Amino acid sequence: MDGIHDFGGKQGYGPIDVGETEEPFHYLWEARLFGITRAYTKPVPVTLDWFRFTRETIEPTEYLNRRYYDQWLEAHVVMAIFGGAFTIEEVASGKSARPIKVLSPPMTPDRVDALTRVMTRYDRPSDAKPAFTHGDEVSAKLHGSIWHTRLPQYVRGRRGQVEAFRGFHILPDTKMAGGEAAEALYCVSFRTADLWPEAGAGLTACISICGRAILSASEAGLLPREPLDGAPTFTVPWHAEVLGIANVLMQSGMYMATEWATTLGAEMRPLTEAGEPDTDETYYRAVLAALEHLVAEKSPSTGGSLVERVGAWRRAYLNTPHGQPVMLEAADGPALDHHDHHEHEHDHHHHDH
Amino acid sequence: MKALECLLVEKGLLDPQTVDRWIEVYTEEIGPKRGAELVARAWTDPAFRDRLLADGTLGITELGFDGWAGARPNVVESTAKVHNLVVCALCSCYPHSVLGVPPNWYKTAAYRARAVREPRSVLAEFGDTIPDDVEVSCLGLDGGGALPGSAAAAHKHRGLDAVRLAALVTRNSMIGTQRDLSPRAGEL
Repeated sequence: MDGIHDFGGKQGYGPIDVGETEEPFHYLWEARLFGITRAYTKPVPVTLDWFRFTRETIEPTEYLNRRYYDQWLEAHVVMAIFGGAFTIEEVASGKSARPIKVLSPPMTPDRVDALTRVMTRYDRPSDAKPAFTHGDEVSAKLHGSIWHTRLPQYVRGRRGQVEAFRGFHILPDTKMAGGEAAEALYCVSFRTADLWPEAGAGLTACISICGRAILSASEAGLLPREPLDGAPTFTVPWHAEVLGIANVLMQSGMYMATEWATTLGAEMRPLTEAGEPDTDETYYRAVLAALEHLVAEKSPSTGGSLVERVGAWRRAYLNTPHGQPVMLEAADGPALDHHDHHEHEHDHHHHDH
Repeated sequence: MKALECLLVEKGLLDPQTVDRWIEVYTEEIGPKRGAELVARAWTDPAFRDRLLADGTLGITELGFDGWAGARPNVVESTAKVHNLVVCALCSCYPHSVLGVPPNWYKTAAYRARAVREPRSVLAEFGDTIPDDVEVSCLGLDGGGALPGSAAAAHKHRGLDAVRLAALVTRNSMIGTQRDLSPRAGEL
């Protein structure tokens, strides 16, 4: 999720407490909580990614102010309540109000040594061929997922280079819900100066990132129509806007570059066949039609509201006096009396009708 | 926290003595000494070093340090040209089985925010100046979809006697917030 936890590159957090004494726990309660989370029987299986997601949902000011193990406490309480071990009221009182069915006795001290050696593997065997290899230019997607995702804000939409393929691993975004979808995992390096201009040379940021989160650079952008000699790239602002939106949606993964090319071709063909002139206007009308087509296909809910929104703009246009900026809010206003724009002063009288 | 412990015990989900044992193990047995042993071994045994860099799990298992977050750690080696720094900006991934419990600073907003963007000033705060001709690579555990916090920076420093290495390898040097491993004044 796009939460407060995604700290990478954020500014204003001040100095680091480098004088911290080197000891595993600074307070008894921290040690206690650490031990509890290792030792208690989880009412439902707790995956690492579910734990991380639960921690991310801590209210942002609490996330910033609570000590680390206090955040663990909250996350484990939430997961235990979710798992049916106890209720919020029981947590508040600290007293059990009803027994629960427990399948086996809790972990005993003599099992701890063996359990410290348990190593959960997240890589999975696969015969699939990785899409990228060392040296490939890639760009990170613009959007992660609403669950725990390992695509940090600071690389989104940025170009990097594949350092190494690290095998197929479970994707956290699906593992959170118990899924096992394995994805190619790569080490991708970004020049820090490409992420933050003031960073300077000689710095790289190298992250492990799953295949689904990156696109090959060949799909990194849709180019504008080749301008005529001496003409500007875009002759009308909306041409640039519509191409920009098409680019953003493609990079966010709504459709692939190949789908875009096919759809745009299909929209261009009837225009060409009807003898429309080979101009920017014709081209970007096709771009707009292709975009509307793909949005309707890939995101039916957005596609549906598109028709509604076009109608709303039309009404807003008709409801706005000449010379005034057209605002979408005007769509829901009263129909304009064309000869009396003072009608607006009485708007509020009409709302109850 | 007391409420949580009481409830878990009352519900039959927790044995308090097991909590004591976990604390004891992570206070006395599992800690950065393990990582130091791993690093010293890598410095003195080139074949082991190669195995460790190729698949950290193999190296960790060889020394019997299997455990929490030990699977597929991304082990990197700092050299005369490159210095590595490890951070998890998204949560606080950490290779527990070889480094123990992470320091509090590693989990703070300040470190998680700054390590990737201004690693040189972070290192300076820890007392190390990285020369301009040494590249600093910030190894984000971000995106380690399947790397639950497992990266150990095997940090190589020239001119040290291999036998004394393990004693000189510090926790911070394995995270990367320390580069100079020569004994500091007052430490010998």
